[in-house]
Amino acid sequence: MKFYSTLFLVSISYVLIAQELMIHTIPQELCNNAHAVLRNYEGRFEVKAIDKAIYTEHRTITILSKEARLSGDFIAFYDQSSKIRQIDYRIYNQHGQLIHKANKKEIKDQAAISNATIYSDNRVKYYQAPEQITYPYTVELSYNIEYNNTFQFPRWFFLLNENIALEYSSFEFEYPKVLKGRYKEHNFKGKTTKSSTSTSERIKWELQNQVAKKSEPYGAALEEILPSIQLAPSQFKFDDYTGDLSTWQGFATWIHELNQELDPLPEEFKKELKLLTKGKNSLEKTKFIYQYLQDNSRYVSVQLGIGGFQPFSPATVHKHGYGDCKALTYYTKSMLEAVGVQAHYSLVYAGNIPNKIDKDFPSNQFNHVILLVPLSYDNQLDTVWLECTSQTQTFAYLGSFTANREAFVIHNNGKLEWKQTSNYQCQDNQTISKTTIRFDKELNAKIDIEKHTKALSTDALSGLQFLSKQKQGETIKSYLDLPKAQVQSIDLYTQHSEHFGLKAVLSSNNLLNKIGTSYTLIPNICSRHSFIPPNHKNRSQAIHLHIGYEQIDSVEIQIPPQMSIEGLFEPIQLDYIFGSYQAKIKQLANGNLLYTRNLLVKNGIFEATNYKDFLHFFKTVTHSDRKKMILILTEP
Amino acid sequence: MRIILITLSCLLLNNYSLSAQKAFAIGKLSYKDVSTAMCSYNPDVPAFFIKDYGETGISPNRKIYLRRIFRLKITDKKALDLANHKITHPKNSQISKLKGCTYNTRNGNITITELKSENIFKIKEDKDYLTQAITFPNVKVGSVIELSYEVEYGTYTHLNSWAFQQDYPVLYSEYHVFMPSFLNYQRSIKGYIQLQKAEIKEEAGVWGDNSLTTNHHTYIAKNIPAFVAEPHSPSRVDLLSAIEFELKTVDWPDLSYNSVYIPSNYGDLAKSLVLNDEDWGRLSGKASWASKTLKTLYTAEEKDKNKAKKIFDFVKTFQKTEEEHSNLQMAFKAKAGTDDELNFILILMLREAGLDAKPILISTRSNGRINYLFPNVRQFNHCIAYLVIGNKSYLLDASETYHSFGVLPEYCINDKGLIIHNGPETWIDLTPYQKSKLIVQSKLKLNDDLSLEGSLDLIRNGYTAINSYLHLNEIGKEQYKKNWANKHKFWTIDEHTIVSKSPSRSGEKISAAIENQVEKIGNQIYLNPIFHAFVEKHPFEANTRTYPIHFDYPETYTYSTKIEIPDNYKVTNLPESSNVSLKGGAATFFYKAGVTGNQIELNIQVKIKKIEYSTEDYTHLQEFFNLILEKQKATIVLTLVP
Repeated sequence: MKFYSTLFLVSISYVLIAQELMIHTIPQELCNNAHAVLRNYEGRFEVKAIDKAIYTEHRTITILSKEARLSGDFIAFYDQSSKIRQIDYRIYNQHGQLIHKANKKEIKDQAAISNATIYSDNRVKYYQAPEQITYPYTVELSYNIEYNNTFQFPRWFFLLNENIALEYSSFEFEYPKVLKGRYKEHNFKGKTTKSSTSTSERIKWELQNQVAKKSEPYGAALEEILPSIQLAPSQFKFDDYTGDLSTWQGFATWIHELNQELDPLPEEFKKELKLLTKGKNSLEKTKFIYQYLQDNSRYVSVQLGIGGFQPFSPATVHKHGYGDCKALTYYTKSMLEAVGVQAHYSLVYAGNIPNKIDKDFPSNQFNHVILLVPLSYDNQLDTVWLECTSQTQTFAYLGSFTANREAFVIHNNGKLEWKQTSNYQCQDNQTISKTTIRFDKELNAKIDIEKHTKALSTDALSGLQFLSKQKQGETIKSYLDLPKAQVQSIDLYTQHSEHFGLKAVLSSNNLLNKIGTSYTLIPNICSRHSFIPPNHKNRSQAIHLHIGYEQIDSVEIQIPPQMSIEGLFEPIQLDYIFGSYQAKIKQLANGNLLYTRNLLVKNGIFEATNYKDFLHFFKTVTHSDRKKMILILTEP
Repeated sequence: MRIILITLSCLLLNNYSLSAQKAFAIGKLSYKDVSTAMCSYNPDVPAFFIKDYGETGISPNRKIYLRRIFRLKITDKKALDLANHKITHPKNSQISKLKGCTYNTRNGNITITELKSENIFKIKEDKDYLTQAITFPNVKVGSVIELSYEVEYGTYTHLNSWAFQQDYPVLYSEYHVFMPSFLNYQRSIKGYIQLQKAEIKEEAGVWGDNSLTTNHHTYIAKNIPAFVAEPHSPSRVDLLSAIEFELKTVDWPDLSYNSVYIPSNYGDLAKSLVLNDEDWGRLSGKASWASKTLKTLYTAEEKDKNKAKKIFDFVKTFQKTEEEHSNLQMAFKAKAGTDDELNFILILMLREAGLDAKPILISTRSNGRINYLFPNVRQFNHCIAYLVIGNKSYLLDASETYHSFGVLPEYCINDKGLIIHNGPETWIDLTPYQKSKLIVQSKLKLNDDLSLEGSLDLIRNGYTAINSYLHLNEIGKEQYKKNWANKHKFWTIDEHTIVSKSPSRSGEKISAAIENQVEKIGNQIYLNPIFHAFVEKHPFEANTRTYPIHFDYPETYTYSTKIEIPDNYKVTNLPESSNVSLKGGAATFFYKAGVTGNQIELNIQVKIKKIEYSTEDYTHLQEFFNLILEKQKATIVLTLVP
């Protein structure tokens, strides 16, 4: 039986025969390791004018198992400047028989505001296949989206996601010659066809018979593995604004111009700031302003139209005491400039994994804004970076969220400068601990711990300062796995922006474990590694370690007077390309024991063949960190 | 399930409105009020409510309204996000009197910043709901925010409930209700906080040309602690300090008019549903539309239980829908239905097969416990089937695909359910039919090179099996095995097979080489013989306990392991045996390690029989788990034979 699919805005018409929807017609090799197979996946993005673009999609996908359910659902986002039309959604069973066609009422429409945002005009239209559907089934869906803004162009992933195989996919890009649309191919080894009319350019990419791809732990991001076509405009329109994105400088100029329109800080406030910072040098002024920002503002994200790129004005932030990263950064910049300190609005891509900006392809690759203040700080730093959205972040410290990456800095004359944010290598992220344990005759132990963290390693400890004294104690006891210990004192200290330290004194009467006539004790009291990477056989991707660190620990133990040492573990040493580990315990001249430990995990990219060693390394470290020593009574 | 909606729109409520003169105005706090406000009983808290005021009454356009005014102080940066407040309401409910302000104190002065329209964003959530997203201006540590609003919300049958307790401490909570005195409400006070005041006063009210008395309720609670969830406790609904209302009687001024029926006991409630309710009326007919299908499911000679099983399995295959069908026959034809429709179809088909099946109304766990004293149909939120064959009874829920015959979904296990029949008031215990067990059997060999290898068999029954099955079904076998491997990173897994005989009985076999359980120091080996613990972490670490302790279902954990040790080693230390029991055998723990030849044998059994405990039992439960964790850490010592 033949039937016709719905015709789209720009006629991609074809005939789909029921045979093709039947599951058994999918080549077997495509089904291996796939949770779904894209039978036919076609997309088209046509820029008609600077204020009109249309995205059309037609997708026929067979869902083999539950894991891929989402890729067979209809989900499309829109906002004030776009409209979704002509939604068609059909489900076929494994014999190619139509079992359901979604009607208009079934397609849900709701606000799509992320948890971090208070308000935005983002909405989503969606329809999900019923919960109790029988697998496998095939979905055929199509829709189009009309855009009035031409700043952000879609990126076409031929395989849609991981664990999805492909029979056939095509993507077409058409734009008026005068608007000079741009594109970049990623991992694409298919057919490209270019054509043009008198007014427009058209490119079509086709790919077929692709097996499913899969991400691996510590591997590259999916965007780097999957074949895709990335698009970007040259000239564009965003609400009432136009710009040129074909060069990085063009983008910087656009952002700069958006910021120029903003209402400045009230004059009285500027005067007040000048008065409050009178006599201070630039660094002191910066510290003062940053403290003022943290004490008097809070993060509120409102993204509406151009407000996604243009901040609230400094006047507005000052009036309401809130703003998002753009607004708070620009506000801080204005405050600093009011007291004579230069500061620059800088875009970054924030996230715990530092990404690399693709310099070849100017496009919006950013999601956050921070502030660059070109000052040297106590001979430790030559640049001060400020995170303006946090009420608690240490001055001039960038955590893993924005460290180790390139920032897009916009100077006051609109000129762009690429600058590296705080660069923390493995030996910068150091934790040094010194512990002494003293036992009395009743086997009560007094434990003195001193832990000093640097750079990114401060993140693990610095949260303690925001807890109540009681909660601090509970957290420390839980971390040491000594729930019954008594906390005598806790002292926290910050030295400079990149250091954080802890001094704690605890007492415990069950540190020693009695087994028969012996007593055991784990000397590594406060640095027990517990994370082991997941097992992965037949690894093919390189290992990406984004953050390296170093731990240097020593524990001196004064054993109970009535005991002597029965057994100590052998020293251990591991050396690999990605890290090293040493742990040993020896007896000192004064009879005390000294346990020393060094763990170094490097950052970088390492060949896949190292994964077996990588796993073995962390297993050994975890096991070795919990090795016991044995004591026996010499006197009853 | 359709709730009996009592409409009082026939009431002539012209020019009627009841509202308080008690509500406080926004923006009137002094410097002292703001700067000295503190939560003395919990000074470390990041925010607290200074005052929380609520009111329910009838607005001039005859709708029930809810008015709320609160004052909140933020004392730590962590709680700054409380200055973002969202009010979600039905699109058709009017929201009015939306006012607010922020107070700040500095250098002896107070500044008040008013909430403006530019701080309020309206979000159209979907076709039915709107959200007012409010962001208070100028909020910092030490600020007090005030918000007031009134929204058309509530019904005459259950007004608006009020929570005295919040996620932050509340220094003072006050709730008023104004209703004509001919409407009498049953009040249900939930939670563990004593109210300072709970009174109803008669006051004058105006009804069109008549004057009728108003019942003015006042409820006050002070110094309420923040609600903090505790592990293994009853549902939040039962713990949070709150008040709920249910219409009990309508003493209509015109005695001849009586369009309202409110049952005086649960027996009457059940009868009334059977006799008067349209939805429940669907159960009164016969299921002739199913008779043909029934003939295909079983033969007349088969035992009743088998017939019932087959009918049950058949209905379980139906699709679950959110929308009701116009009648049960349509649902049957479509092989689809809502939860209630599926169970109704089940009951009708069982009856058609000549079996004794009745519907039971229950309240699921998260919906809270039923108040047995005060009949209220709204307390129920789910319907299941009660089948009696001979002297055995079975509880069935056809709305869940994976539960076998007689095994209720866990969320149904919530004390008792009410039989809906034209008969005496009957409550049925919703107790688990099958025993839930986890049986672990392992056999391992410690080699000369101190590597440990062998296999582990896991056998699950009852809810232990069902939960594992549901999880397996959710993520698939591949991901399940991956997760297992990730949880046991020191195991090099050779083979992992999963066998599910039925959702209530499953088995797993893992053969692996295991590291990290053996440590050699000098000529001694320390071996930990636990390869699948009962608990990883102590469930009750907090020193104090406010709420009762509830476990999900009675469960038994049986662990046995046999470990063959090398010939040149001898066991020189075994952990001591243990055999403890909580009062009345509520929970028991048995641990025994032994050696036979060159084989170590360890047997452990943990039985949780009783699933509900009072706070007085808390310390005993803590000690119980302390002992289990201690024994799980215990090592066996082997010494090299000279």
